[in-house]
Amino acid sequence: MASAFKTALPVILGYIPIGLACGILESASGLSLGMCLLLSAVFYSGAGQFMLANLFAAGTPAASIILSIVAVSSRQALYSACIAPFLWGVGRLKAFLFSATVTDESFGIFFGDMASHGLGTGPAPAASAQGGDAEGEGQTDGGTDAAEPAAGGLDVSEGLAANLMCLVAWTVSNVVGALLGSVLTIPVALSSFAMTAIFVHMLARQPASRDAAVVAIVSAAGVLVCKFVGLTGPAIVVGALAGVAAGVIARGAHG
Amino acid sequence: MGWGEFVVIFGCIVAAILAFRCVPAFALRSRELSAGTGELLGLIPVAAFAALVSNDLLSPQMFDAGVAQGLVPILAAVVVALVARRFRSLVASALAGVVAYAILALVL
Repeated sequence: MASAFKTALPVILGYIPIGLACGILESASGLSLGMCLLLSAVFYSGAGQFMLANLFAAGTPAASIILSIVAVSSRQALYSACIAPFLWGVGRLKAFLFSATVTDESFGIFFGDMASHGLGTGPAPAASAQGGDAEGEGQTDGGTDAAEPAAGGLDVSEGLAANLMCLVAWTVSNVVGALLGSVLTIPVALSSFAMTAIFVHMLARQPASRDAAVVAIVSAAGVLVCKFVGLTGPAIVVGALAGVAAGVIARGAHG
Repeated sequence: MGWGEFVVIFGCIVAAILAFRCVPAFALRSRELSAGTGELLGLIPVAAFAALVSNDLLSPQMFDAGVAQGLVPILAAVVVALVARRFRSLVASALAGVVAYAILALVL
C-alpha cells in the first residue's frame, strides 16, 4: 500500500488542482453536483469531462457531445492492449477494476518503462517488465489470483490500489470544485502542465534508439497534422497509431 | 442539463470508455502473443507518450499569443526532459516543470 501511494502521489498532486478546475467548469456549465460526482467517479476522464462541460455550455447537441467524447476516449484502447500481458492469471474482477481505472497518467506511471524492458508475449512477462520509477519488485498477493506480473515495478494489486487512490483524489477534487464554484481561482495552465510534465518525463525515460525516435517523431507529427486538418478529437490515437506503424516499418527496413 | 439528457450522454460515454479500457485487455490477456504482437505492443508506450506530449504542447494556434508565449511550455518541457534523464524522479520532473513554466511565463 505504501509503494502504491508513493507511486500514485505525483498523479494525486496533479489531479487536485485540475480536478478542482474541472469541477468549477462543470458547475458553471450547468451540471448538478450529483452529475459531477457520477462523471468523476464512474466516467473518470479529465479530457472527456472538460470536453463535456465545454460542449454543453456551448449548446452542442447531445449526439455531437457523445461522438466527440468517444473519439477523444478511443486512445484508452491502446493502453488497454498494452496492459493485457500483465493481466495474465489475474482474477476477472481485479483485472476489470484495474483496466477500468487506467488513465493517461496512471498508464504513464505504471507502464512507462515497459518498452525499456520488453513486453512479455506469454503467461509470465514479469521477468521482462521489472524496473521503472516506482520502487519494489513484482509480487503476488497470496490471494486467489494465479500470478500477478509486475508493470513498472508494481503488481496488479498495488496498481489497482494506486489507481483507486487517484480516482478518489480526482472525484473529491471535482466535487469540491463544483461545490465551491467561482470562489476558487485555479491557475489551470500551470496545473495542467504538471500532467504534461508526467508525459514528458515518461517519454524522456524511454530508451533512446533509432526506432524509438522514429515512433516518437511520427506520433508527434501525426497529432499536429490531425489538429491542422481539424481532427482534434481522435488526434492522440491517430498520431500514436501512425507512430506504431512507422516503428514497425522502421524495424522491418533494418531487420 | 436535465437528468434525462444527462443519463443518455452519461450512459453512452461510460459504455464507450469502459469498452475502450477493458475489451482489448480482456481479449488479449489470456492469449499467447506472437513475437510480432509483443513487439507491436512494445511500441505503444513511446507512441502514446509522444502523442500525449505533442497534444499538450503543439497546436496550430500555439503562437497566436506571440512566439515567446508559445515557447513557454516547450522550453519548460525541455527542462522536464533534462531533469528526467538526470534524476529519474517523476516528482522532481513534475516539480521542475511547474517551476520552469511559472518562471518562463513571467520572464517571456
